[in-house]
Amino acid sequence: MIINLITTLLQFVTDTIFSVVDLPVVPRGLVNAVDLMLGYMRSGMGIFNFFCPLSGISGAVDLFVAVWTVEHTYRLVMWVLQKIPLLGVK
Amino acid sequence: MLSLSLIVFVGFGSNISAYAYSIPGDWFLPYSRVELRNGFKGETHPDADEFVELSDSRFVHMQNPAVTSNGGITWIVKNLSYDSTRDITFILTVRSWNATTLSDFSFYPESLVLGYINHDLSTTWFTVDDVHFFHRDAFNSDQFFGYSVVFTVPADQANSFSRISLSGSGTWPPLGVSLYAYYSDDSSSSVSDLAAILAKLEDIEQSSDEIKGAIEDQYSGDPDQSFNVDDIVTQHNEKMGVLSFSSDVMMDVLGLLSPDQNLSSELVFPSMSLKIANQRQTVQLWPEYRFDLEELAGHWPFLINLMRSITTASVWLLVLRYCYKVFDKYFLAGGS
Repeated sequence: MIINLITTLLQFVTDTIFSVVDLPVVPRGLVNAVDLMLGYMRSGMGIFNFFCPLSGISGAVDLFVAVWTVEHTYRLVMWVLQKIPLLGVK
Repeated sequence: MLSLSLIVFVGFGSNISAYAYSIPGDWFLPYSRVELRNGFKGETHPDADEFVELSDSRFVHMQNPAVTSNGGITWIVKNLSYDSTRDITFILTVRSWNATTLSDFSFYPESLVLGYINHDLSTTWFTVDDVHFFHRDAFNSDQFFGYSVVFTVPADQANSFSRISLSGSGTWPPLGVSLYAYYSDDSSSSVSDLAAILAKLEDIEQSSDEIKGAIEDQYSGDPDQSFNVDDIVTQHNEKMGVLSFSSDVMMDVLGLLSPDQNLSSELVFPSMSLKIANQRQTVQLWPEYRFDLEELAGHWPFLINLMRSITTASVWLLVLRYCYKVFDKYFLAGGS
């Protein structure tokens, strides 16, 4: 759920900001290369899913992403606050 | 169910429009709403409006020698499945688009031939059991008449594709040609039921004409105004350019973690071939081999389930350990 939320948010941001810009067409070679890479990754995930079912660890992945995001957001905010001498944050 | 290769050679005009419809029930021709335009030479696939041109030589090869023809229609239907234990009755109907042109039309039932196309493109001809002529004066304000051809298909002559060829010569008014087939365990009773069947065909053709008319009205304007949803999506994606592409790729990558997707656990061992440059030959050392890991789960379900439980528990333990370390770092003595 968290992953879907993140991807939806990122897509909304990118679509909103850059929809008015006339960007060039993605080269066909790049599209094919990425599709090939995604195919390999999908095959790999298929093998991984056989040994470690994603349905069983999806909650763990969501928890890990959530904790990691909160931790690093906290560290980023604190790093910015530490740069303000007036606040005196250490 | 077997596949039948069938040829129908009919001697009549080259200016022909042909239609075929799929009919529910015992009617089994696998094509539907296939239109062959005037003077068309090509093939069509079942349930599709895709035509593939054939070479003239191949078309001539398929012509009935009894018909002097320099034009017409070759109609190929692939994978015509049928029950080999039952007789098949074919009905060929011909209709004119208006009453004035019907008198100009000539139909030669003696030139009608049914036959198999074998895998080596040789033809096995069938003896037509019976031919009946029908005439109906009023059909959707047009003239309408038809022929029925009854024959039995042996069970040991199944082929992989079917061909229905209509050929002829001369200049004729536009005609509608339809070929139908149905199972008939008793050919005589089937023939006697043809009147009811033809009445059924009227309804089908009439409804088909209405649909065709509606489609033609819809697209009778500027053809450039016709659109395709896929084209619009493609144009949108192209307009979004690199950034849309990158976001799509990111979503695809993150989507790999979604448990809802259909992942394959198949291992593919690619084939190996050597190309001999001088002889222009390619020698395959070994073919491609595929192995599905799910077969292991079928052989040793307990071990596989145990392994999956252990790996799942390990992942959860690692994540919980990471969470504890973070908690310890910021809220307990570990962070000091």
